[in-house]
Amino acid sequence: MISIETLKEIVRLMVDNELAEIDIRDAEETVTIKRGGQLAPQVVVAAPHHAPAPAPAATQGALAPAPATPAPPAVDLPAIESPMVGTFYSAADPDSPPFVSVGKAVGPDDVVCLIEAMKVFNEIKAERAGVIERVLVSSGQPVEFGQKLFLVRPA
Amino acid sequence: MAIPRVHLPLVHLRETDSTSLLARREAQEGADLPRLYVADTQTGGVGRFGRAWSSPLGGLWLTLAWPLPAVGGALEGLGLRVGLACCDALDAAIAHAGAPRRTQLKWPNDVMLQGKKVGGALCEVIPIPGGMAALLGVGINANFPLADLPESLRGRAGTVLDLLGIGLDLAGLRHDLTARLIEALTVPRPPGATVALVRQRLSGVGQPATITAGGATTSGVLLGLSDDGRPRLGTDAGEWTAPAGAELLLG
Repeated sequence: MISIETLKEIVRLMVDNELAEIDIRDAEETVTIKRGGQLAPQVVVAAPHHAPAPAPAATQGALAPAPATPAPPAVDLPAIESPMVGTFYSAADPDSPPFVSVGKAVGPDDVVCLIEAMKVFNEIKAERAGVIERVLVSSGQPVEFGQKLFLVRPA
Repeated sequence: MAIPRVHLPLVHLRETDSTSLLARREAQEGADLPRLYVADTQTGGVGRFGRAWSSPLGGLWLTLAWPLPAVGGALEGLGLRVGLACCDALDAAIAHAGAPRRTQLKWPNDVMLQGKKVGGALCEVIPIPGGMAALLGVGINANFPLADLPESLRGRAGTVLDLLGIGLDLAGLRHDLTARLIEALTVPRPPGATVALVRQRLSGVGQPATITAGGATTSGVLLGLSDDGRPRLGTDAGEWTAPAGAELLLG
């Protein structure tokens, strides 16, 4: 059986690399880890190939039950991308709250962040309606043209 | 200058909180653009990240609100071009007053005169109903004594009156500066040409400099600008080029 420590390491690598699904197989078992829904990993431990198939309820891992109708994995969600090279700011100034955070509903014209380039502060619109699922960059971080800033679950 | 002829309504107030904040409010409420906002004094002038900008009577405080078709490449280099516009307009006004001096540009768009900051710009691109708009806010410390600035600013900041002993034609400066800002917004210029002009008047080259970017601070000697207009520092670890969103402090 895969150890908890190994499982944690795999999940961390999946998050870092935005992997949606990974299979680990050996002679004894097959472990499938999927990311989706609210980003909690789903672990499905399949029986050894030579064993009888277990009942469906027994295939669900302990970390997060799979929903009846799985939501699209976060990596498949549309992204708000940086239209320019610059520095990402999540708020108008250090004393202000961020424009958006995870779970916030946004409309196409809502400002989600600032990108500064040579003291030109560009307010970036969501350009789509939905809910902010992930914030992919930190305030003050340099960003490139086309870099994904937010993942948005469509409304 | 080959700038387009435009109808530019002028909103001139004796006092407001900030011409940039006023322009933002009105643009977001659907005011027709372009429009130029000028105030004799500001009670809440703002700079980078909402920092206070002191704006006593005798300075030039204005914001040009300009409609944009889209955000992106068309505005590449705008921060530097606005800085050059401020320097060129102030040089012309000083020459007209009979005391020719050449200003320098502290990256990316602070105006320096005899080592003191006498002007600055804040450029914002904001969404408005039906599109986007650029707000180019400029402040020039012109015809007032240094004593009118807060004591905490007097070490680094200066005024034209204090440094050169002359008064400027503020209306003429405003007219010339506005034309140059419109040119920066509307007349394409190869990025390399802008950087070449900035290099000719870049302040602080060869001096100690500190750059803050991404929460980290890097110190060294300012070497100049990269080909895409970012400051280059000579550090103990070698030559380093700052990201476009960095903040430069000289000295």
